[in-house]
Amino acid sequence: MIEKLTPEQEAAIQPHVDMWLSKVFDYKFTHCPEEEIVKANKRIYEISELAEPNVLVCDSPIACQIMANICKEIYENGGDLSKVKVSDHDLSITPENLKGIKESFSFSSYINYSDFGWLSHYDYFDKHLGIVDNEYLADVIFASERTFMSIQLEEVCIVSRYPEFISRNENDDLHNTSQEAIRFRDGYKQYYVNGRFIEAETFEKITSPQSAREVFEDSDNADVQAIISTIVLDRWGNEGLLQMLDAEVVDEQTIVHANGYQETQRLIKSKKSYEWASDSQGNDNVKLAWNEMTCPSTGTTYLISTCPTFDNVIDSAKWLRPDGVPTNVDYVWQSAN
Amino acid sequence: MKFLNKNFHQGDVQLFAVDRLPEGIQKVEKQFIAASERSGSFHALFGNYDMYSNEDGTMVLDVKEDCVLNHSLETELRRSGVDMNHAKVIEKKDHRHTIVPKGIYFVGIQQRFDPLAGFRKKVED
Repeated sequence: MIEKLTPEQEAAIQPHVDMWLSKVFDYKFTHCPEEEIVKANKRIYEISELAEPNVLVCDSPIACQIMANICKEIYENGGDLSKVKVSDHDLSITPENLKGIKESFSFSSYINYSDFGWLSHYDYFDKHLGIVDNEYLADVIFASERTFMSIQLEEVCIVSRYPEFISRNENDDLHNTSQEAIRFRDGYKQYYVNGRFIEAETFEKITSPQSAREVFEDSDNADVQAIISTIVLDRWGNEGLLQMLDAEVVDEQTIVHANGYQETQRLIKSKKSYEWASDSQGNDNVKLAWNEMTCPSTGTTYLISTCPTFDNVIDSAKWLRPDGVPTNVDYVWQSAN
Repeated sequence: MKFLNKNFHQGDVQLFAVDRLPEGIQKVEKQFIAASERSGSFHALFGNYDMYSNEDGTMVLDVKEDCVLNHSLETELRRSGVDMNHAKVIEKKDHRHTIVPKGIYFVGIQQRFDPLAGFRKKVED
């Protein structure tokens, strides 16, 4: 039994991790030959003692769904799925093709990017410790490297290639405030900010702090407003954020928490009053106010709506705590996540 | 009930140490402190503790030993096979886990003000 790694085995860990991560983040297999993907997935079915499928290789997961719905129609009309070819069909990401997705097919739990966690461990055990005795490990690694996601059915296996562009923040969450965070070869893309998904329609409208304001005011979802704020802050800075809100900072304080973590909170108010707005005392035609807080875990900046009667950011932060917490309880966290 | 100035938060979930269990609370089964149907995410405490509910929806936790406050997905919880009686860290969704030490805690959700209604509204997850 191995109880301790040798210095050589320890030294091999980080390069091994880097090698596995580069498979995805250096796009090593995004453009691999289609024959490899087909062979890899047929082998998986063979190992599983299932009949050989027709492997259809698509450029993105959404193209897989389009293809799966086409296959379903062919099957229901008595067609032969073994003769289906991707090249005979239009899988381009158009509104018309997306409307053709009548049924959403589940992607398989295994043989995809999410297997890299455990596969990289077993690969290390095999290469550096020599303790793996499984004839199929190499086949599963080969297939997972070439299959981003797949829809595994009895007669067909519809495979998506890996993305051609991935953007992340320092926490390794999908993130980009200027463009898509992930994009596939066929142009299919998704937008994420600090790991949170945002609809393309919303993201693409944000071309200036002024246009961001329209989108912000149209949304009543705190997460979407937080994402918009983060985008504006990232692209145009604090000035941009205050322009978006047509607001100004009335108080700013830095709080040092018990674990040493420091955060700066700002109390922001709109310059103008709004007829439809009221404060906590029932007065109408008042300004809008927010506490600007940054989540220590995700780095996302939130604007938490608060009562405009406050002029002190800490008093406002305390007021936003749950009912029942007295105001004399300090605004200090032992641990903030 | 006296607040002890030992406070924790994870996202909009906030915990405040108090000196004793307040009156009028009801012991309940362990459950998520906060959950989002839309995203399938939750905040929940894992480990050795009792949970109590107040009439206004806030909760009190009697934490017997170090517990783990996780923010994760329900699908991840099912996949991990971990149950809420064990102080284990599970894969996070957005927020890092928080270790909550032994003690009694008043728990609630950060609020936000609704200028349209003139009253405070709980932050929707």
